Amino acid sequence: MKRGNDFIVGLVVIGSVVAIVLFSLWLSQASLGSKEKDVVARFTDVGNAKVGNSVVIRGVQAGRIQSIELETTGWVLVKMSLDQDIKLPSNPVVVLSESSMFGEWQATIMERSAAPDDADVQQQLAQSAAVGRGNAIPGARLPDIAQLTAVAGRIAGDMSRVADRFQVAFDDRAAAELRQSIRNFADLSAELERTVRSQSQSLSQLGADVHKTVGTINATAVAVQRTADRVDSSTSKGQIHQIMDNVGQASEDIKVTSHDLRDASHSLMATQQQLSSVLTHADSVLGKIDRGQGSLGMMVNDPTLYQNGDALLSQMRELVAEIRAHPRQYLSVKIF
Amino acid sequence: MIKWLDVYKAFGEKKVLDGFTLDVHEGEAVVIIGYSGAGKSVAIKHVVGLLEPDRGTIEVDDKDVPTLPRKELYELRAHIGYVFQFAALFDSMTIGDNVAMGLRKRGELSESEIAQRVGETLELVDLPDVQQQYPAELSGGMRKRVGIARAVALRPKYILYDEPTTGLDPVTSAVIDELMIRMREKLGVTSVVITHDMRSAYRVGSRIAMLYEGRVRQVGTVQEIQQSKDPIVRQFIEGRATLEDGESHSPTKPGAAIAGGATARGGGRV
Amino acid sequence: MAQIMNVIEATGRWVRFRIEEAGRAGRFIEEAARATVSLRSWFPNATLQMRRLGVDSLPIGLLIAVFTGIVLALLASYSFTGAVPLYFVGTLVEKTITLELAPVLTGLALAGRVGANIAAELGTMRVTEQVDALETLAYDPDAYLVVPRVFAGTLMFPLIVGVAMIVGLGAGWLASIGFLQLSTDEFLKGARMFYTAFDVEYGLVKAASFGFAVTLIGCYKGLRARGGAEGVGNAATAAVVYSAVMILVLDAFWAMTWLHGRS
Repeated sequence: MKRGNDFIVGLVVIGSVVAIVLFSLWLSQASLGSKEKDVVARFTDVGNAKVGNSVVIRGVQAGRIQSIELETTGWVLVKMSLDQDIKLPSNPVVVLSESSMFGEWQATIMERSAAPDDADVQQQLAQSAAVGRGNAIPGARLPDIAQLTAVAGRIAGDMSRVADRFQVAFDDRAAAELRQSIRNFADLSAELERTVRSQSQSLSQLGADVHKTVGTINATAVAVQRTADRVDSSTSKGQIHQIMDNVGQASEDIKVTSHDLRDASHSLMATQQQLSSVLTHADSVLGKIDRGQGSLGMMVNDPTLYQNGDALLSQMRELVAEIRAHPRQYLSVKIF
Repeated sequence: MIKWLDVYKAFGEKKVLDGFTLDVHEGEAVVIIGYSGAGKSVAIKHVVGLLEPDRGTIEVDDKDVPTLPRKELYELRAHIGYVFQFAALFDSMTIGDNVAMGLRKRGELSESEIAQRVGETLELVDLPDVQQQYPAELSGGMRKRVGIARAVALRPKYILYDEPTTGLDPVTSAVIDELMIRMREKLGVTSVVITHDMRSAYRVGSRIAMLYEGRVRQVGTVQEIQQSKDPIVRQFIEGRATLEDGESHSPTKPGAAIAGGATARGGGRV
Repeated sequence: MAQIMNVIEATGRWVRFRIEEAGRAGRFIEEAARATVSLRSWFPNATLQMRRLGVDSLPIGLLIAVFTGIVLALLASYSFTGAVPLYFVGTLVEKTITLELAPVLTGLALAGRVGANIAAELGTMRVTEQVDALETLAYDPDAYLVVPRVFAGTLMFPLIVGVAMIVGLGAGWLASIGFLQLSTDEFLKGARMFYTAFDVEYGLVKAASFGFAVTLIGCYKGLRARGGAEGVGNAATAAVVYSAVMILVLDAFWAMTWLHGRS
């Protein structure tokens, strides 16, 4: 009786302790006994990456961040433990980015050439590689959606330069077409604003970096405002004002949402790239206008330029419609 | 030697012991008689330190029980067997384990020696075949005998019996009385017996003390008590409802009530 | 005026009684702590208590965990209503089970089972003088009766709760697959997304404190039982009520001192 008791109690105690420990390890995905190798990468800044975050190769989880140490020389060394049989790219780099809107980060190991074509990222990688000490591979931290607005800011600058030209000469037809263009743009931006507003409702977490965005947008707004003032004088219809109001409204909205915005999602980058390509498109159109072809008469008489502008607008409109129709594809799903 | 000297004990407002003084010498069997609720159990509970007096001293072998450090108190308790009114057997254990409890605690004997001692002791109380049974399976009289066996298993110097025959039929009572006499003769223990059964008191006691209103009313040999002139003692030993002068008597002092206070606070039966 | 005086007097008596009670409880804990030192006197009894208070309580703990897990999964999916991805069901089940529901619900159930059991058993021993008998046999009731139970409770509660966590999460997972068309991978993704070892640690420490409180209160109330069957009944009732209240108080205490302020 007594010994049977001891046996059962012992069995239950040992069994539950083992079960609880295994359960905890399994949930935290710690690996027991499997062989691992360590990879060290060097960063100037690791953002919000923490010990335990996933390490991903070509989208597949390959290990975890084991330690993050601040080197005396000012670099941050990140040690990652990977499964033994994983093969690294021939010229590997590590890019840190968010994996969700909740501040969860991940480290992606990729081929040097596959690293994002972003000046800042490239510079970080180059600096890290230049140190060349030990066998640490170069690492960089991805920027966030602040980039998106930077592109928009550049376009705004281009527009203002174009507008300068407009001021030189202006005929009625050009003005009418410009008005049409501006009206389209106004509609589009109003639509953008609505989209942003509706999307912002489904975004529950937003990042601090957008604070910077707001600053950029404000600067943009000022720049566009200048343009608008000039254009306004000839169009006197006040559409630019409307645009500016809309832009202002949009930036207000972003400011509101930005309170919660934590960090831009890595996956938002995809959306951003699409937007970027559209904006680049716009950039090139405006570039053409800007370059010598950009005498006003040529622009007005060359319907293709205008059509290009119009096409750009409809493209943007499509994108907006697309985003609105499938918001999860661009936002929610990637965010979570 | 057990010695109460001017012991006072009250439970709240109720004075139970009020200057209780009594000596019990080695080899004696002192019977304490008195009304239910007069404080007889309270008096002997002080001997093993289950209760602490408000005032006064209780000495066992010249040690003052209330002031003993815990360790010495436990050592002292090992020399005193206590037989509870309702036996107070541990009902989750077999009879054998019940009897062996004190021996196991003392830890001087090996398991086989303990088994042997338990067997002997149960034989002493004429219950040789109940070792594997549980208390609930036994009759009241058998349980009391097991209670006695448990108390004597340690071969104590003193045994305190708390109403050992209460609630038993006359024949079983006589068996228990025999047992108490046998323990004294065979093991040479000094005993203190609480009872209000006068037949039992006369049979067992070498001296009898009457506890009344918190103090000893009279103490003497069986013969002295039987020939007592004290009306209250006479009333008690003759079991009459009135005093000799025909006046209806009921104990007046608080704590001496016949009906009230069968159970005192502090868990002790008074 | 007289009435007011009565009220004041009654309040005073009540306060005094409570303070005395607290003092007695404090002395009781002190005695029990002192008795813990003599390991030899109580440890042999501990396995029996671990069996009775712990192992035998497993079924009720697991039953609660199963239903809690299922309900949580469905509750989570209902609350999310499409706005939040469904795999957060896993997160919610994992967090609530480990941090709160497994310790507290199991604790409350065991407060009834264990607390009442101890109080009734020790209460009966007290009123039938078995506790006195122990003392006369040179046993220290604190060491012999209280410490093994408190030890068993403090050790076994976390184990039961730990197993309940596993079972609860398992039940939530099965419910997610069965009722919510969630895949195992999605559920696990959600459960792992915010999992830290702290969750389990917190739940287990909480459970240990519950076990300690429930057994200690049961012993205290049981050993202070007075006056026969009714006293035993009162002791059992009081033990359950005090234990349940204590569990909630401790729950809040841990949340305020340990959980609060952690990022």
